[in-house]
Amino acid sequence: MTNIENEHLSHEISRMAGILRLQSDQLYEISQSADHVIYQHKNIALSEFSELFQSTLNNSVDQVLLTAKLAMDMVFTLKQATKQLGALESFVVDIQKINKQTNLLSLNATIEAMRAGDEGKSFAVVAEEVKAVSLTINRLAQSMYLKIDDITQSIRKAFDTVNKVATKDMTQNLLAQEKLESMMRSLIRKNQNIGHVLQENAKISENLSQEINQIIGEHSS
Amino acid sequence: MNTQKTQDKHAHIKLSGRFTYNEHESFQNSLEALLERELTEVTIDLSSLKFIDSAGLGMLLLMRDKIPAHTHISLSGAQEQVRKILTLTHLDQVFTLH
Repeated sequence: MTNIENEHLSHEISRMAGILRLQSDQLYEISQSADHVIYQHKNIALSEFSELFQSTLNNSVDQVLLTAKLAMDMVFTLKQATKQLGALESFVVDIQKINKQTNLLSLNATIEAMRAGDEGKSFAVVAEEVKAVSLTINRLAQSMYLKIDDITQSIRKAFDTVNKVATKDMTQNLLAQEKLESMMRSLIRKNQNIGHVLQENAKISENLSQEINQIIGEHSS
Repeated sequence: MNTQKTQDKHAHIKLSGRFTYNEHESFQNSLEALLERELTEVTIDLSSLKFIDSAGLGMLLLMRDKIPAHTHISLSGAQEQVRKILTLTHLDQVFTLH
């Protein structure tokens, strides 16, 4: 082999060593980025991303539980309100009963006043007034009864709506957290393995490049 | 939901089968009965509980909210599936799990 050929070969091998060095640097760079992700325009470590993911999942679980708790609280409150309205309704019925008796009493008083003749005339006026008051109370009781019925209907509708939320089982949403965590762990493991393999390859390329340079050095001296 | 044996300051409650929305009436009655007492300890026995859904979890949290903070509430004997959901939802941080 002539000196020129020798120099050419040495130059080519040296160039290959340079390429190997470059490859090693690139592999190192890729291995470094393997455990990072771009999230919301930020380069963050996978460990940090995992924590962020975990905290988002925890937040979702908390929201599901809060919704379930509030829905059940609303169910109990509406049931209590319906119960209290029922009691109010029976009070109105009692008022109507008493009013009926008052009405009968005023009728009896009117009859007795008529029997008493002139002496009972003023008493008849009082009896008429009592009857008028009784009729007013009756109308009021009737209005209250209808109003209570309206409120009961509204509460029943609200109860039906909240029932739909309360009976919706969100257990699967809660269990999804476990699956997502497992998927995330698997992804991180995979990335760590890739990073590890890349680093190993970078090391091999670097060693190879150094060995070639050493051989060239020994050969030229 | 059954309030089983009770002592003066300590109530024992046993949940069995499924604890879901369908149990809300008996839960409400038990809770109202508990609120009438001055309790220091409430133990909820979950050893016969097969399933709990989100409404059931909501009711347990509601119980924690309604019962005074100084009353200690513990959950005991939870089976694997129930324990898993209690842990996943971090209810083990709200109640003492035995």
